[in-house]
Amino acid sequence: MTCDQFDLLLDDYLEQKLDPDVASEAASHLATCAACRVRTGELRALLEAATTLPRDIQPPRNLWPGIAAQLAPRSSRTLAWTRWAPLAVAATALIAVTALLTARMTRHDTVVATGPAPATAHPVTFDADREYALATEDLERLLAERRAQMAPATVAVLERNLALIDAAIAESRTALAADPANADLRALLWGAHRQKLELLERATRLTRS
Amino acid sequence: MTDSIQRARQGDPDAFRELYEGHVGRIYALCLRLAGDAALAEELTQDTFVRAWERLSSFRGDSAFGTWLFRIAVNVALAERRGRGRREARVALAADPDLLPSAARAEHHGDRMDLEQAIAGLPPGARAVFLLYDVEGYQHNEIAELTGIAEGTSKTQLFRARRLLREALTR
Amino acid sequence: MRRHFIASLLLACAMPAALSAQAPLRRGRSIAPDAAVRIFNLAGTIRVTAWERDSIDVTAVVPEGAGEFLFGGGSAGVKLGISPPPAAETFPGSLLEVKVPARARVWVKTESAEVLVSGLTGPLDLSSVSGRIVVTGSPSELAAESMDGGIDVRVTSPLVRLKTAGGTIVLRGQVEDATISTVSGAATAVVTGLARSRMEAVSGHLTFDAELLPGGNYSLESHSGDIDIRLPTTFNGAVDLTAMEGRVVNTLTRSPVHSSNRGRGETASFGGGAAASDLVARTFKGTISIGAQTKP
Repeated sequence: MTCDQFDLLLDDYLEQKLDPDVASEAASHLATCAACRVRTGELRALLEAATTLPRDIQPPRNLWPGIAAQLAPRSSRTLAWTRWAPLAVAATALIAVTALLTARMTRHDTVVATGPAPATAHPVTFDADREYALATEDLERLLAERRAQMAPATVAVLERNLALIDAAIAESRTALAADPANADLRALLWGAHRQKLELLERATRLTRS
Repeated sequence: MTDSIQRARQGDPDAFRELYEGHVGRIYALCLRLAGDAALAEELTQDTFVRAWERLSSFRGDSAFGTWLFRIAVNVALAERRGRGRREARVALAADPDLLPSAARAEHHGDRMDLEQAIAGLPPGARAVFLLYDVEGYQHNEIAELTGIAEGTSKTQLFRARRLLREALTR
Repeated sequence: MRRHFIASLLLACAMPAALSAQAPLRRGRSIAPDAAVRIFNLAGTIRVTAWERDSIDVTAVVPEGAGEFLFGGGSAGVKLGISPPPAAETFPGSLLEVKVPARARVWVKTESAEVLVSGLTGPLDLSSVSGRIVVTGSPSELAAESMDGGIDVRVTSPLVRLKTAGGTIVLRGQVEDATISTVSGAATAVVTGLARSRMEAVSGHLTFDAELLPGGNYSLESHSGDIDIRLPTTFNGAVDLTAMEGRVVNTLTRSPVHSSNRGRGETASFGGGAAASDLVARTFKGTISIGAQTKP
């Protein structure tokens, strides 16, 4: 067996996948060839090192807010105009009641109404809304800690734009409360939530170097 | 199927967060090495979990949740590379010490840091197969299934990866 | 090796005292064609251009009290910039002129400096607060973000991501995948060869004037900002426009605009075919206008 032939078999040799006769030929070559012994040792060391690499590494920063920002409800997006067909008042009421009941069955709802009336005045918060709120709180806390390191002009721009997003969130939320089944409204609300999270995230990275 | 998975399938983001906390380390480690770039790894990790959320209803519990998640991560990472046609890591330097897995950096063992760097320097196809075979312990047929390459290609790529690494580490 | 990267940076820090604060400083070294180059300068000007050599060349003009010029690294990566004077509320800006190989991977961070990057073909990552960012060339990908600095980009690139809160964004050129995000700043994209895009604003005005690829996906979203869409008259993709409590104006096709949301909003949808594109625009209370591109 030549060294080139051995090199081609080396991987299988180390993993004990060679036929017995080939394996013993390889072993004999190894016994007489220092260069191949070196190469075998290198490969063995490499494979051992590979198995000892840490397989669990925590990311340097919390990725959850970025993920939470993208978690849409797992129902398929329905086309806007199918919902805008004129509905009987009773049908509208039915949809509103169903929405309230569904909200009450999920974990974090804060439905106030207990009666069956189609409520437009009762705030309905969905799971995802709550999730965003938690993620946003984390970032706002972090930002508050770093505010002192930011130039005042920057803080002003940031707060002005955050206020704009908050106003948009409030408007969308009110509209969604009146029309909880509206997927487009939900998408807009979540878009605003996501933009807020991203802006906060970016702001926390603005430190003077 | 565990309680968290059941609840997450029903749309409960808190339950999904629990799953995230339990698995992000493994996913991030894989993405970091596959991408060779910390910023991209963060994106891939996030994309993996977002996609997992979208596909929860198709998780049937016939494999461990972690394995199912892993498969998504591999697909996300490889699709990303295919989609962009990129051949190298982004702005962040693969060799910049700030960007290597911090667990590796924390070790005093100089060898381990060099191995991470050497892996990051591999061509992407070889790198992926090396990571899946020699680091994560998948067999060639599983790698073929995970990545869509032929089993034969997987073996060739592994051979190539090991040779390149051996060369890089003994220079 | 790479561990000495930090050490050499510290060494560079130890030297500046001997250098004149007013006369231009020159530093350079050979670097790999795809080396990573990190540039930081809080105020002033940062200009990065490509040249034919496998080396980096920096000219720095650092006025009195502006801080220290730092330069360090190795052939695989260089970190350079102006370290601001400690505990200073304001300080004068510095000028950094950096020449790098075209394929260099460039990362720039500033607060108020103007960032001008041209001729590069590698990936770019540019971050500013109030400084204006101007990019031309063919970056393999471009990420630029600001708080309220303007972002002006004219490139050919497969991947562009531009983000601001209050700045004005203008993207022109041939771009395959574009993401533009703004809160109150206006954002305009005039592009060709687009396969995927997402534009979003809260109150900012979005303008999308694009030649699209078949089978592409495009989305535009705003809360109160108007959305202006200009497409070729030959466009036959699937279009879906929704204004919750706003208006939709369609001058591109004969499809009617319907009243929606109990009379408070409007929608229009039309088009679609086998390899059709999917263009979705949504606003809460802005106006969505879609019409034909005006040829010059």
